[in-house]
Amino acid sequence: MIEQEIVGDGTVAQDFGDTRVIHMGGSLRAKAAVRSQDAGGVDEMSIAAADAAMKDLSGDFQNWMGDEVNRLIAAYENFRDAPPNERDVSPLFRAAHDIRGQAGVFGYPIAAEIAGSLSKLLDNIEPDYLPIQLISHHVDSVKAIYRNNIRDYANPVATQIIHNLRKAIDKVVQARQKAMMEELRFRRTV
Amino acid sequence: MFRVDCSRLRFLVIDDNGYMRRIIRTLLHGFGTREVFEAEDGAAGLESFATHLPDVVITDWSMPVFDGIELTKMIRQPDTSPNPFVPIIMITGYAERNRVFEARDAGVSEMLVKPISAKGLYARIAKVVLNPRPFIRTEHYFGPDRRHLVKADQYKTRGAASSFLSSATGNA
Repeated sequence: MIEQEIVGDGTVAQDFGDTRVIHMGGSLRAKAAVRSQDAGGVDEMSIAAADAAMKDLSGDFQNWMGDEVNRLIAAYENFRDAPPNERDVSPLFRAAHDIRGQAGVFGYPIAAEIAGSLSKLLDNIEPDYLPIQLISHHVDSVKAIYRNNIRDYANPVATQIIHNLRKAIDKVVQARQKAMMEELRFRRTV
Repeated sequence: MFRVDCSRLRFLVIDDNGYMRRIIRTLLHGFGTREVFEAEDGAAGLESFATHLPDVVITDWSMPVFDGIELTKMIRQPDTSPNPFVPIIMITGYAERNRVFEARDAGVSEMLVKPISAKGLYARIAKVVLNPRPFIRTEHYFGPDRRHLVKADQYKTRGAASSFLSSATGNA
């Protein structure tokens, strides 16, 4: 037997054994939904207004990107210069992760891709095994992309940088995975 | 057909990156929203959530100390949260499948992968306002139904609640 009850504000709850399904009463819909002539209920005017507001803001994007690149460089230098047993990867990861998410909006999609590659590297490999040279390679690439104002995938330098980085990362990740498998195999035999 | 009048909604934006908060605020104001509150980490976000009772929460995933996943789990506490049903839109650089599942299992309503756009953000807001998913409560989970494509009919087949639900929610 399925039990159901109105729990207030038009909300209805149904019980299926140990699972309760709660159908919201639509109070938020009642508060903010308005009839629209736009196809598919997409508010083209609001979206255009938001795009225009972003365009006004975009004059600041180059400076903001510069700040984010400087944060990445500082985080990398702190990581590199710390004694190995005191290295904290979090600030470096967050700096890379932020560029991964924002550089596209700022007009630097290639820097976003490189920073994405760096954040995956930092996320997938234990801090003790992180290859400093490869991290440095990423940071230098982001820096070069920004300082040379490279925004276009058609730029042959950018294409080459991305290609080289991908190859280098795959190599490091595969080597690490192989080492882990061997370690596991060794432990099983001991 | 309906659209969302964002001027009637109150938003809370939680992101440790000031530039990202500025971008989201700019988009929301562009949509016509007047009330946008900000917090720079999960702990401050939770406090602001209790104080301002926003209609929609927009949060980043990766934040120091108290991240967006932990924040979502706190908000989705049905017995202690001021509004465990609030829509939570997570804006993140993570696009990996396992990350999407992790966010879903924490109780996130919608995800928006960066880089953010006006169209993408508006679509998520429209989804949580106009077509919210039912909530599920079990011993181990409280949050929006994790099956995104559930239709009202599927609930009907599990009980004779169809007309009752239609009239009560006006939304079947």
